[in-house]
Amino acid sequence: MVEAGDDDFSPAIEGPSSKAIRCVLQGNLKVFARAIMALAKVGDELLLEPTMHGLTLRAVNLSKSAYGCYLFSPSFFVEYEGGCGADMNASTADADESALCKISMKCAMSVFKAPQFMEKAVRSCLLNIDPSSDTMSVEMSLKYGVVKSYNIPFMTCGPGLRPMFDKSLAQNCIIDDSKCVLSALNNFGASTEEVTIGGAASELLIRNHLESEPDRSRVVKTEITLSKQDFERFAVSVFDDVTLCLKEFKAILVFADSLSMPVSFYFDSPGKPFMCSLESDMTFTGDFVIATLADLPGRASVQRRVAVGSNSQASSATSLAGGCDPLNSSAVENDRASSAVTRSIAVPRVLRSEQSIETLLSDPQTVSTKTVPETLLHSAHPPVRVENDPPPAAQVDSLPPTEVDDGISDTVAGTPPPSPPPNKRFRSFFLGLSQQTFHASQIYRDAEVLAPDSDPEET
Amino acid sequence: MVLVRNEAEDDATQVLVLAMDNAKEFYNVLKTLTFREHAEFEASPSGVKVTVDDMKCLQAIAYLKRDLFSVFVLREETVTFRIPLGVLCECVNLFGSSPNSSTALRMTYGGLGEPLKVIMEEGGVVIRCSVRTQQSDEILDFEFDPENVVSKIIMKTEALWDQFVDLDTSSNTLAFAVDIKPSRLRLSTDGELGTIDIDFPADSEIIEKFETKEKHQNKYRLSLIRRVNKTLHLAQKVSIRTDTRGILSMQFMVEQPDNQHIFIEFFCVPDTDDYDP
Repeated sequence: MVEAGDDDFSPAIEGPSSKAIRCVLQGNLKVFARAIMALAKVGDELLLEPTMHGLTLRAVNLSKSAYGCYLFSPSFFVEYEGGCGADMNASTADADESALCKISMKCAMSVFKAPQFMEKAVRSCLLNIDPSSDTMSVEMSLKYGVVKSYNIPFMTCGPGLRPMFDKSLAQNCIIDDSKCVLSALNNFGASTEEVTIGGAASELLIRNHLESEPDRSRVVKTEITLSKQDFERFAVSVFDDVTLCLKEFKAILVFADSLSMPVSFYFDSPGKPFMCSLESDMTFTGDFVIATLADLPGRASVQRRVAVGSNSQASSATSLAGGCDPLNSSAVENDRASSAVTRSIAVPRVLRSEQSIETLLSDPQTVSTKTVPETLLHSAHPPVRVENDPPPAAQVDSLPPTEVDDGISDTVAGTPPPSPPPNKRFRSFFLGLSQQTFHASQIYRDAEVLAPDSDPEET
Repeated sequence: MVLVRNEAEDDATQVLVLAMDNAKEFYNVLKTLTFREHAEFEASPSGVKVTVDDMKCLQAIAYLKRDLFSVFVLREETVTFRIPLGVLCECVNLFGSSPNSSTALRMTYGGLGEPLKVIMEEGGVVIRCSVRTQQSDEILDFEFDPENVVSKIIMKTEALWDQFVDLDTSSNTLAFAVDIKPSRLRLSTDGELGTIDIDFPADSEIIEKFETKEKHQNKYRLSLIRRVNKTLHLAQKVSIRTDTRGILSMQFMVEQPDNQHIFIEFFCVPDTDDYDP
């Protein structure tokens, strides 16, 4: 078969390229549609990768702090033909080799809408995806012989994102087959944006995350404890609290709930990614990787010291109460005012307290921290990056401002940093310019005054 | 059912007196035409015609035969007036639309300048309304000649409605294409969601009749075509015809309880602006 696009000037009039797939969905169409709905909660663009091993659907959010991926094997479809044997983990820097294509999530949702409706109205669905063409086609056979064909244009697709998460590295693993976590999450208010999940020896604690709320005294604080017996598997060895965004987390749970599938959670300490996986079905898998909030330096990580034995619940509650009140809440609020000033100015990194940094450096085991995204601060001194593993590396890298090292990175270096994460998140990450130690006027202290303040009131 | 007559109004002065036993169907039909403020009301010996014109590009006409009315008194050759249709609809629906009850309706009109008096009665409660009328405007005649019809398709409305409500609204036009090989009606949109084609094969069980002299395609402004949605939902069958000028005629048949029918017809001129190079 002639490979389309070999010569830029000759149109692809030959048949579909060898990268094209042709597949038919019948009974599983609603699963496919629900998967797209779940990915729509993550990102605005749907990445498709058809290969001979199956069709992969992916979505990433703007700030690259959440990633969703579904891999549908050929057995998921009634018919599945074509596709090149692209190695899923190979580097995709070479565009000719890549089988990646991208469509807007809006298009995808309009085609695969209302899964319940699809089940009744659609007899079968034929997909023709050729990454080297300009469009993909979806042909739905409806009742009464009506055929609806969509020709969806592809968006230009950059080199692919290769997430580098590894479930086997996570120290905690929980498998939920009776929708415990989803029903727990349904107790949280509609405006809850982030939740904190804490694993203990025999229970899982979920509460809404308060630091990001503007008015903490007005927010309903919700806390739910789920017992180990409710889960199919409960292996928790790292007793840390991790905080993640609720929207993406709930998306995969809702998907699993609609199909009554168990969900496996793999997580670790704050800053490490939180992975939700659907591993029970033979014909497809789903993985959602969500970044967790990293601890800010100077704040002791919320270590829930769970005593062994019957007192576990009591002591965990007290340590929780002590730990969940952040030490630097006032600093976070003040950062809102100062962040606008400091974002574009070269400022020496004022750390919250010198002493705490020393502690971090000497005892990396107890605290896991990450410094603020370097791209947002043009620093005179090389920033110190403190991680769990010593030694700290002093480097400015061009990673986009992510909350955490969740392993998602552009494979092409030198890409312009994407738009910064939403203000709220930025606020909660902003390091070190607490109003106690720093005032905006200090920036201009040594600068030459070109025009004095002429406002008579301000004297 | 008690029809209350206002003693002060002598029926002999009214040039038009209409009464219906159940206002519900009248309301349902008029409701589908409320996409513009005013309608032309025309009563003639054969019945009542309610016409709504949209920018002179789309026209909708509801035909209510004389037999549908329990009282039909016409004291002139024809009686025409312009009336705010939305207001009339609201009046007729003042009792609400519960399925068990039936509202008796009586309308009287005294001639040019007089309002249309609407009296409704249900369960002993009487409501009287007076709706101001205006002089009727000239109704544009689309001159749709059945002799010049290129294609005619009669089909059930259900499947068509399912697709019409889902049409990509980011597309400017909706194309109607009638093909011979394969025999089918194809509706197409081209918008932000890409190009979408919906095919109704001629041998589908929902198509009762499929006749065409040649294959043709015409585009119509989607915003205008969508005016038919409510009627499409109310009716059971539609006859889609296109004439040699590309004007589309959609005749909807709404079944009535006693084997009667109400017909609503839409005419739409083709969209001649073609932005495709």
